[in-house]
Amino acid sequence: MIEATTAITTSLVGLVSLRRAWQRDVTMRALWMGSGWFLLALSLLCFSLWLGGEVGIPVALAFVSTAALCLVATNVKWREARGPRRRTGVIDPSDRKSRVWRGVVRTLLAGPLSGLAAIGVGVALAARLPLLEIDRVAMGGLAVPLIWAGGMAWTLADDKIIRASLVLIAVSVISYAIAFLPV
Amino acid sequence: MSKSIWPKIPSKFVSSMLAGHSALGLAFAALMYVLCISGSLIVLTDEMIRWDNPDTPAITEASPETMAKAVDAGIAAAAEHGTNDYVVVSAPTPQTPYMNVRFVNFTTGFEKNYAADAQGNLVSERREGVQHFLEHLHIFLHLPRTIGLFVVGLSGVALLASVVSGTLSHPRIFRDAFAFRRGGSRRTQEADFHNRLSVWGLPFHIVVPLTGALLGLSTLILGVLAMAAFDGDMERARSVVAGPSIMADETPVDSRVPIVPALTDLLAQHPDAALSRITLRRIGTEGQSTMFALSTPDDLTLTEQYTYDVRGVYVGERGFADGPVGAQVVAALGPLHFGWFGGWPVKVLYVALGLGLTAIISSGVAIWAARRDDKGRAVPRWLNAWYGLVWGQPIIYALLAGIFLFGIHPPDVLLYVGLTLLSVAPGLTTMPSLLLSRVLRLVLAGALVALAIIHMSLWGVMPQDPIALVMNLALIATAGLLVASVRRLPFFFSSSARGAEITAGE
Repeated sequence: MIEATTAITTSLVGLVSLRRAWQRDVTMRALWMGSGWFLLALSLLCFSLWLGGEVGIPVALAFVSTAALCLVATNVKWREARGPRRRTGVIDPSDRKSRVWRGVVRTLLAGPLSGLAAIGVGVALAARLPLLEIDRVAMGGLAVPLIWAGGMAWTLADDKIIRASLVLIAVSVISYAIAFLPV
Repeated sequence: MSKSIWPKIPSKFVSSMLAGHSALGLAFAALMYVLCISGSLIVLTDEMIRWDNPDTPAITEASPETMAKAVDAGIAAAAEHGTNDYVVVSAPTPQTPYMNVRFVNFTTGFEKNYAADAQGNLVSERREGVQHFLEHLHIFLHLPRTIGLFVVGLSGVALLASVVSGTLSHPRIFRDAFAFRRGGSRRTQEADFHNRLSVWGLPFHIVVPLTGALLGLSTLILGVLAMAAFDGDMERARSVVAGPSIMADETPVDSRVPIVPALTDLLAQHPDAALSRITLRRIGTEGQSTMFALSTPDDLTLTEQYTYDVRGVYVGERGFADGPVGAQVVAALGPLHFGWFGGWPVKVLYVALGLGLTAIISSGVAIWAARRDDKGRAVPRWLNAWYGLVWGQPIIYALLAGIFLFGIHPPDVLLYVGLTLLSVAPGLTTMPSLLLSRVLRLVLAGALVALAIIHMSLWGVMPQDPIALVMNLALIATAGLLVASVRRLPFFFSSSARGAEITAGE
């Protein structure tokens, strides 16, 4: 019971400190911010002591996320509604030339080519890491969606298609060479 | 406000990231939405099964003798239906206080589930309700298994990519961490809602799509990794990931693992663990395997699995509990993805965060529409179609759940696809999207109340399994929140109906 109370209280006080740190007219911002992050880190430890490391850390993260959202909800500011208007001072998505071929190339880069590169890196890790078989497979497997997602995000964001293509091709060639060529 | 301690992110970078984020989000919006809302509900899979079967006899514990008797009964039931492929008996747990016996014919796909009583006798066939439908929707999208898994895995990758690009396109991620403005310009309102949910749920938003992508793409990834790391030996790759296995051998034999002594021995060796289930494969053949799954409360992995061959010789364990890190990571994917660890408090957090992610996807499309509106290129039909899909999905699930409660099993996939297509029909009109959103929320509220009333009229207000009452109250409470959200709108947004339009994610 004490462990649970400590874990929950630590994370809540940490969140309140962070909220205070990001208020407009606050003094000692660094202190509030530092103590906020410190208490959140400490709460991970408290949850681990309470529930064990394996279960405690994911529970802590889920709890802190939900508690923070509740805190955000209490911070709601209601304003008079306004109709649509052209706004200045906000960053809009970059206006790109909308040509069909560019769309097709971007789709190919984000989908198959990023996937190919990601699987290549995963295979290279699974084949060459000096670890147990299951550790290599797990690490290689985890790398695939992470790298694929990173590649997808980057190729869709990068305005220079050729650069993205060249990097993905290079990553694919190098990783498959590492995986399949005899050492 | 004092100067930020963080380096300023170049606006061109943010602009490019936003373009990628927007393109990706729009391309996968519908798929990601369906997966997120069904996934949020699937967290409550045990509770939904119990809600579908509220008359199942409650059992708090089962002795090894009872489990052995239930195994025998399951084997006999499977044999009556001409199969020896697979029988699994699930032990009662605090989350699932009943004993379930299931057999599957892998050739035909035919399967049956039974409830067993406290003596291990099969007492009734268990009903397949909305949980079964939602599970197949979330995991396979009701597509053929391999294709479905791939599409779901790819959607997981896209969602993860959206998380990456969304986070990088947020120049004031910390400064605005608690800002939550409602009203004002629709775009700011939506952006605040979208960004606050996104930022504070970030750990969840990384873990869930990552594990989902890996689970969905596992066949593809494992196939390629097997080719490279195991010289194409798929069986070896599978055994590395799935643990020790016994080669198929259809030669008939008359022996079987003596369940009671094996289980008693295992439980004595692992005093902190409890039996989760017993699984038998290829029963009555030389290639038979018997697997005991034990669960330990402190483990993130659901169970550790101990396998015996047909003669009762111990073959090995999968290493999920105390094995190599890789084995533990593989075993933790499912629990981390579905929130099946830590009991009901974690389930509540996962449902909340899952619905938050669902709302993020919904509001993402609303931001795009608001941006178009600000630029004088409004897309009212697209927005209406989107709202139709957003609110239509839970309405369809409630409708199907109601139909299943009566024991009627129409061609559910066909019905689902048809109703989903119908749900986007508002896209053919230019009716005010606020009005549409309100109407659909009220329809959903009505459907949820009707569902609870149907359930109570069929099984009583207090059925044998008390979780049914909790679920019915949750349905009614959700309906109340939906009605309240509609009632409050005119009060808070009275000055301009157009500017006050809110998203489905409100």
